[in-house]
Amino acid sequence: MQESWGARSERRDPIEQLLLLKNQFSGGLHLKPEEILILEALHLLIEHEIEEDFLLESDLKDRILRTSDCLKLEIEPHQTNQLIQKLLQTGILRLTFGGTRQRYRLSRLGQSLAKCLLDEVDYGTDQLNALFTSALSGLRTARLAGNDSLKHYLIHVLFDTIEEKIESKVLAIEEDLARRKERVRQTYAGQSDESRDKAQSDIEASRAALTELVEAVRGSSACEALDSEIDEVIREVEDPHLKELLRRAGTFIYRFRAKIDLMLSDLVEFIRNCAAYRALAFSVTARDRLCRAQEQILAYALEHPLEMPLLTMPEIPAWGLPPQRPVEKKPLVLDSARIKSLEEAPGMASTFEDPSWKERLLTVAREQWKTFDQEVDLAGWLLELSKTIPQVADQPDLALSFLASDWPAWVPPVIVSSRDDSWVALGEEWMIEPITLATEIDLTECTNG
Amino acid sequence: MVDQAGQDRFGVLWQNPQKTQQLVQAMLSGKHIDYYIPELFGFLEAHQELWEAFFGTIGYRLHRRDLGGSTYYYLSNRSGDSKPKKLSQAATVLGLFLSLQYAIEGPGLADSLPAETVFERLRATLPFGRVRPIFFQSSPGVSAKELTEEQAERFKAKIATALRELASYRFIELSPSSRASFDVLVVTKLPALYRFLELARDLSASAEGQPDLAAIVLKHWGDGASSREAEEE
Repeated sequence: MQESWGARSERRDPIEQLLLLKNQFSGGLHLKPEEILILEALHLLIEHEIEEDFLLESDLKDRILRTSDCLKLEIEPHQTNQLIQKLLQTGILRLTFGGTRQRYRLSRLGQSLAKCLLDEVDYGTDQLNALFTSALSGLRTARLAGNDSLKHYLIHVLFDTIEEKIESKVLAIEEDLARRKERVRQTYAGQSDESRDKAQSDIEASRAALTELVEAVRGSSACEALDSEIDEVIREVEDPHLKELLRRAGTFIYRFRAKIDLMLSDLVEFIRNCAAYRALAFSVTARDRLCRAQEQILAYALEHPLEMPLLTMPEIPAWGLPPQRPVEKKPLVLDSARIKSLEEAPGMASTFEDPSWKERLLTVAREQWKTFDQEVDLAGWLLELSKTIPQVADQPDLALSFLASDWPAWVPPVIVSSRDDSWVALGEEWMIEPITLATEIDLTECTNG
Repeated sequence: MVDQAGQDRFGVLWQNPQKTQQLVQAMLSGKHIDYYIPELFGFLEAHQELWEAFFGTIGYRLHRRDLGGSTYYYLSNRSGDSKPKKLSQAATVLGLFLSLQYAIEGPGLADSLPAETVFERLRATLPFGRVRPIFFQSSPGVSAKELTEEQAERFKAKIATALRELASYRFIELSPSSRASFDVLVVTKLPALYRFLELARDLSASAEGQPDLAAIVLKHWGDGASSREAEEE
């Protein structure tokens, strides 16, 4: 075991150290949350507010009660003695005597514990700035001393110590954020609105602190200067091994910045989700009511065909001519035997039926023609005929066609001639040119006379 | 679209044709637009009224919701003549189930859940006899009341199909890809998943002693009838 522990001559036997520790804290270290807070309060008081490194009993009790009021720890005055005894028993607080009065000091354990616990939640930039400043100073000094010195500094100081401390600091912040987020998660799923509000305000405070840290690192002269120094040295040196070490150092700074940026963005997203959920269910009661309602809806959906309506882009119906099978067309063959001659075709049936007044018109016209002893004005005659046959006035064109078709068979024969005169109206729609109807007898008499 | 001065009212929307095309195609395919696609979301936010008017002219209604605290947009048919497409019954049940999980646990439940976890919770919460007809429909060879181990793989495949459907409309996101195998598939909640809580919000706000679930469904989701039933008719 001694070989695996690599004991050096200047180190004590680790087993001996462990045995000492075993006997030192036989009762263990059981500290309640309020006791840890009191320890931190005492540490801060001694470190930053007073010049002495001890407290009188009255000051100690006063600080305990003031811390309790401020942080709402609900420690009553009659409980202060008990709390002080507890701190003494755990070895965090020790009692000394100065003159005739009792003095209380934080033991070395108490100081270390208080400091480490504060570091766990300390998002302040002082420690980080100090580390980067130390790294920058050491790098510049080693650079002046030569390549070997620079290599030694990078391997044994920057990577071994400073890098480890920075990583440890970042890890502490990360773990603290994870604890706070877990508390928020538990309270949001819990039954107390007050707990939820408290957890939410805690994590909001973390965001503010982390934002400040990120801004400080971005603008940190020490971090920027270290990065620039490393870039400058990389350009100068020729040794490939040294170049590789310097690149590793530059990568570490880049990863560190990226890490805290990512932590902040994750935290912002988490807080945003909390706010989003708060908008959905602002209290425990509202959340429970909403969940019961959703369970009812889900049960309904299991029994009924429920489908959420959506939207789809309207589809333009596809259209196109379906492919057709080619149809073989038969050649047209004329069968002369089946073609009938026009003469064999039946006569065209007339669709026109003569009106009933036609025969009456023709009968009257034939009789009157026989009595005419001189030429007759056709227009005047049609107007006369319309007095006894009204349809002649309504359809003078039809009446004239009937007469003209019939008078070639009249006796005496009808001689039609036009004369130079004005047209005559036949009703409202028709006009007729001046036509004279005469017989051959009339023409013969005119010739002879 | 031209105002009295002869200017194109929607001119600003066409200044980046590629982005406009992406946005219009995404929304008309039913996708929900949230801040996880910042270019399109920002485009909508910056000109919300114009986009509302534009989609209105082509027969759609633009909705802006922030239920759950994160804003998202989606479209619905304005005309009552159009029959909108519907989410499958399996995807609807899965959406209701997932949104319930997030409502119960709040930010305590990580935005991303392995698909295996979804399966285990579904299996533990809902009796298989009631979900079987929804996910398996008329598949033969599936035990009616209990899920056997060998049938569990088939059930996972059905769940994966429903998850892909939800992802296609950006209710959730699947990683590393929508086609990844079930054992590595991770489901991430997107803001639009809270739409599945709209019915419950209405129900929980109801002052009636026994609110009518069917009426609430009708109010928000129309008749909610299965399109599969309509096709069968």
